Amino acid sequence: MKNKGRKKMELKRSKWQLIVGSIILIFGLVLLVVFDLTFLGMGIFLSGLMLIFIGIHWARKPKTELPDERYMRINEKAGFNAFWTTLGILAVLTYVDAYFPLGQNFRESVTIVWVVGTISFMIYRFYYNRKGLK
Amino acid sequence: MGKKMELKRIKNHLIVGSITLIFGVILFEVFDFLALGIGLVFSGLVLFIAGLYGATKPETEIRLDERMQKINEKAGYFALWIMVGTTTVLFWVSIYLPDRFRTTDILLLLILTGIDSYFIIHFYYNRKGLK
Repeated sequence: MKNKGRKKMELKRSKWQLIVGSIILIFGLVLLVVFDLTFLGMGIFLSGLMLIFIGIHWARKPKTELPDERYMRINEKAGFNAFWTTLGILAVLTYVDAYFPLGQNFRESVTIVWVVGTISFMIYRFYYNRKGLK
Repeated sequence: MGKKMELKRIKNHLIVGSITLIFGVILFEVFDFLALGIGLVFSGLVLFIAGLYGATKPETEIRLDERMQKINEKAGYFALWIMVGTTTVLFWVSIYLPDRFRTTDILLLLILTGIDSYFIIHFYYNRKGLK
């Protein structure tokens, strides 16, 4: 009676997340402890931990809540549009930088591209989720 | 026997291509923006030629079918995450080697990574199929 109402975990379903997550986590620990690369080691360690948590989250979900065909199509459509948006912005930035040097450092330019890619993906996903695929 | 061209179908390509081309020539000649002008002239020309190429094809060959559209979307989706992954790696590189690259290097590197991975994944799914 103790387990009544508790969700059953299907760890087999998220086998890859758990394996890859553990490898990344151990790699992060090695970098952190052995090579003394604090920032990189912590980042990789955190990524591994997140992947393991995502795996556990998916393992706890009932079969009916797993991503269906529509969900996958929305993701792919959003990814496709976000990809071309990011490329377009990159092309514009390249030309702008050629004529009016932006004076950004290496890290700033990388961060801008990362933010543009992920945010546009989220916006497109939200849009297609609301509007539908047609 | 030559194929019949359907210029009406590619009206938008021709209009936008011509505008881009003229705009590029103006930037090139009047404002002396060499690289930008040449880039725009080239883009206009490519759009123009793509339109003319499309005009010679029969209607059934032009429209993307469901399979091709899915392959395009899948390739775009994976290429986006490859690009975002590359930026993450570059971010870590920037922490340890802050002055290793210039902004232009980074932008060009990311454009190349994105376009190349898109075409490679597109080719892969086209060969292998979607399942």
